[in-house]
Amino acid sequence: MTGRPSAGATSNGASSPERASTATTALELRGIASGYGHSTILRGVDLTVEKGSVTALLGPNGAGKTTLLKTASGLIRPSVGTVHLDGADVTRLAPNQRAARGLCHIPEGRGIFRSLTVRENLVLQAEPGHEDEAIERCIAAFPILGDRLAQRAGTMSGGQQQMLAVSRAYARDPQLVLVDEASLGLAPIVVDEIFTFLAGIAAAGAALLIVDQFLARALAMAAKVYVLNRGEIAFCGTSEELQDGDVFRRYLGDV
Amino acid sequence: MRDILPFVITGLVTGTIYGLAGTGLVLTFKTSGIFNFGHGAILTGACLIFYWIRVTLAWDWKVAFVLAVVVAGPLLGLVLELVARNLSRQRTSMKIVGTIGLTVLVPALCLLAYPASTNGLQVERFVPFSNRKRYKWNVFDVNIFGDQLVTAAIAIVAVAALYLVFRFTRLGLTMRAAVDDPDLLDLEGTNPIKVRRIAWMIGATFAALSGVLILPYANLQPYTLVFLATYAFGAAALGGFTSIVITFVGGLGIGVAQDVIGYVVNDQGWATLDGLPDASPFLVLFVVLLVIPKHRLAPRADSEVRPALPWTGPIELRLGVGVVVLAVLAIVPHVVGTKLSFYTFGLCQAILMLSLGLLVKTSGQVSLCHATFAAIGATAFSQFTIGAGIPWLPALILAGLVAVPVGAIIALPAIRLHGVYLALATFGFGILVTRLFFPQSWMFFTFAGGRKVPTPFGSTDPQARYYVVLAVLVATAVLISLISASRLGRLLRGMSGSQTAISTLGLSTNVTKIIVFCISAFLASIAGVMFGMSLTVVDGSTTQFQPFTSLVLIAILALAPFREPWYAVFAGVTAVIPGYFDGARTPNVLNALFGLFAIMVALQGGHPAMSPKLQAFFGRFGRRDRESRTSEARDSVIAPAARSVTSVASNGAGLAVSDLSVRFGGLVAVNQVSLAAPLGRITGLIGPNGAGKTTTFNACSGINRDVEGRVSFHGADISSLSAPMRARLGLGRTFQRMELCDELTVFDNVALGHEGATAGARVLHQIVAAPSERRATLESTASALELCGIARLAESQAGSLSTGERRLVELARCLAGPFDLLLLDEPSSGLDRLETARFGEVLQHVVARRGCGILLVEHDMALVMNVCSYIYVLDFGRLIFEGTPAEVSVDETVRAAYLGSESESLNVLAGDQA
Repeated sequence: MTGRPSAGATSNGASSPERASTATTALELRGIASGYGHSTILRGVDLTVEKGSVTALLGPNGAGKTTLLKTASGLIRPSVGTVHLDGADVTRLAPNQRAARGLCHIPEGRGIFRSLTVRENLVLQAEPGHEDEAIERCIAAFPILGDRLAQRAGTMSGGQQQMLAVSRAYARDPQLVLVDEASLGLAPIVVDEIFTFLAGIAAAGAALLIVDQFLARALAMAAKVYVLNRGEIAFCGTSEELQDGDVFRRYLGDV
Repeated sequence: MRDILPFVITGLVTGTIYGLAGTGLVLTFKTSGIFNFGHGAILTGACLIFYWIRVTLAWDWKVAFVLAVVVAGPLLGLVLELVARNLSRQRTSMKIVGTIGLTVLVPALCLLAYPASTNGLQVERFVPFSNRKRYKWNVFDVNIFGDQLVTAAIAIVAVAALYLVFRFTRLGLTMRAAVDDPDLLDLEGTNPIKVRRIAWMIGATFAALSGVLILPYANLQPYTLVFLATYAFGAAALGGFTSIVITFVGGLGIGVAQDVIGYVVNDQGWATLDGLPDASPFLVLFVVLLVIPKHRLAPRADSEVRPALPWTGPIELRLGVGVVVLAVLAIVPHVVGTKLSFYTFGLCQAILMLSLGLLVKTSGQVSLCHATFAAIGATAFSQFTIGAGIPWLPALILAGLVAVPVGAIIALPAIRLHGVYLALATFGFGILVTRLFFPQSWMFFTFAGGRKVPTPFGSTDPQARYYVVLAVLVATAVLISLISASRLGRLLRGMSGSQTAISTLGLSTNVTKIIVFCISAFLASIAGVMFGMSLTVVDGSTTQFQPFTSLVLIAILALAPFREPWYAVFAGVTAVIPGYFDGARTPNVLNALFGLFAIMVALQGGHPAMSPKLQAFFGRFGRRDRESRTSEARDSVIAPAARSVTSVASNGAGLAVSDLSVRFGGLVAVNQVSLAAPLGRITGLIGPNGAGKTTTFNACSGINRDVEGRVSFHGADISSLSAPMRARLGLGRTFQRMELCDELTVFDNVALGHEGATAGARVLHQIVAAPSERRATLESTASALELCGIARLAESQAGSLSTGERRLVELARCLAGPFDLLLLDEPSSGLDRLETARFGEVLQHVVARRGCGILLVEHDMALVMNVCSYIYVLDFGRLIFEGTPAEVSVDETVRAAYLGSESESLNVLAGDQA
């Protein structure tokens, strides 16, 4: 992979990227409380993703995993706490400004524009001016998308839609990729393909924060694991430290 | 056929302009979700700028054109984007009020800045090739002029350019993407606000352009101009409010239809259809909204700002204020002298406002045609008294009744449509009636000096007239207060708070809507008679009956502080002001203020709540009796508590599902699932994300009826029954995203569980509760609150509670109703560990006391393991296991389903990964 475009750290923002080059963390959440309207979902969450490493975020449904990713990418503003990307405080930046700093959030439930064609989706994923290049790379990763460029994205199968969604992680060489339930509702063979792709992204140097119901696959990739339960971090450690009984018990909230 | 051709051509020219305005409207609506009722305000503003520069300053038309369209258009667009962005967080009613405020504000400003424009803005044809002697072509015996061609060409080029941008550029792509999913666009690095800003700039420029282009052909004053853009609403409706191309073509069609119909009506001498050409765009709008498939008009599920919690003063205070207000009104005729007619008018306005407030404030519906109801009342009354010689009072009641079926007609779109589409339908209906029926001989004789509206005793004494109107106002206010305190009032507030919830509780909201529209139309019609009486003669041009008045009324209603019936006082006062500030400017100053303040109120989401200090101050005027209702009910519940234990001992079979399959397109979301949830136990339905739990749930509750297999309840097949019908059989449910009426107290929320089901679809039962029924409601409410352990919260407002408490309120609401099987959809989401544990205890307590059954769809294993006596496990839409909690916890299949595929998970868990 080529070096990432310079767009990121120097783009306009509320804070100066003073530690941009020296920081060792791709993402750092400090003391986050966050939620929707009146209901608080995350309570006092601290989470760190090291540069170039893979971190898994586990937890039962409703634990707040999606809220955490949305807070990290800026779709939700935390009521308390700060979000740092690459050492710089981005708490007050909009999602598109965080995207310009190398963050790529692939949201739950097919992060694609369903009414647009596959090609149009790929164009929007790409850096303006580098559309053709990005399309080529995505087709190289998922050849099936190449056959469907003119098709409406929403009419493809679930697996193909998810391929299109995750291919965004490829389009702009992001520094940090947040993946929310990429394997949800997909056939095992497609799940394999998606995970192989994600492993490739990680190998190329991007940091990954993965939320996935297939614990085994997520754990296999991750160096570090967080377990979230009822909006609080219930466990943080290496995947080796998370033992058999533990996983199941913590995951199911039966502590 | 040949005769029609010239009209087709002139129609096409105006049609291109409607199409132009329509595409601008659709563009902004699509990208921002805000329907701009004030589209005509932009058009009017641009026209005035053009007129001022071109005619008053007598500068070159090109300068005027550039300043009015190219400069003012985008600037207005920027302002509107700012307004729209702030409105997008507000409730639908505030979104409507905000843009209507614009419609009221701008023409008033125009007239204030430029009083002469009241005679119309007359502009010579200005586009190139306007010399009709030189640039004239004869095609098929039809003269086509240069200015027509140029005007149409400008409009076509503008729309074509927009289409090309929209279709083929990155900017257009981001616009389409912003319609699809603005959050995703943001994540992909494009600021959706910037995209919307551009869309609004284009939309506003199109509106400005359409206004300036049509100006030479329509010598209109600002209040008429502002309605010109509404012709494009019909075109937008034809385009399904989404398609740019179809909207443009629709605009062409409307333009042609207007001119051709006009010619035919004239040619055939069909005098009764004189109004049809001008009514046709609104006929199109109304009909399209009645027939367009519902799913095309699905509202966007934006999160909305909750309205401020209203406060009700103690009864002593309210009665006291009532007496004081009445006393003041009673002496008014003796102190105001010659200004009395304005006060009489104020009282009429107050009656009309009460009728509108019942609909808008209490029931959460919208009507932009209330002035039309008033017109119907006045004309019917005149016919009954003068025409048919019916005595005054019976004629008044009859006039009110005449409007009732009309109200029912408006309830039809209300049943189908929500929010902005309902507002559009009522708006279209109002103009339709005004244009088509006002000129008819059975409505207003415009040529015979109008219709006379007599007073009761034949007396023309202004004081007598005042007291008659005052008496009617008092009667109306009492009626509104009674409705508010009756079951209907409670149901209406419940419907306004959460229609989804109240219909799943068993209430037929269709019936409720018809009732409220009929009552409101009745009262508006009475108000119309009062207006007529104070004017003595009315005709088709009476201000109070014009569609624009309907808009002003909505703006005033949004401004008016206080609850029913007090907001009517404010409305009355606004009608008195012109009495003391006479002069041509006054109405425009008032309209400008109404419009401006309506926008401001809408932007902040309605009136702020009364400050706690003021509440405490006013509260001192009453006794401390706020707890009495609950404690009273609690006392009376001690005896019936025994009743509720035995109430569901019927030992019915409960819910049974056999061979249920649900498909979405090619995807089989639920595959051949069978399960049973009998009474007297808690049954769990679990599974990982995407396993089909919610799909199964929706098939059970009746939200989705497009399923295979059989759903039966107490042994009877209910597969084909709607959700409310299932509710009436005893199947209750809660919502994952809680559906509570935030403005109401906990007690009122819970009581809706009983009242909604009791009222059902029966008209009389929806209006009043028999004393015995009311007692039953109070008892079962108190008992349900007790059972859930939230009796102490009874008088708290639901919106102010924590998520955990709100879950319990929802549960209590189900328990207050006659439900013996409860479907609970992920009730623990949003609760912390302690709250979840407590919720589980409440569930067990409820089943032990009531003997009802519960089907618990849950992801929280701890909760399910603790409270369920039997558990079904779904994965990939299939039932993979069923058994007791003990069996589930040791089953390998279940574990594998949660951890991914079996072999891999075992590897990982053995610490064996590469």
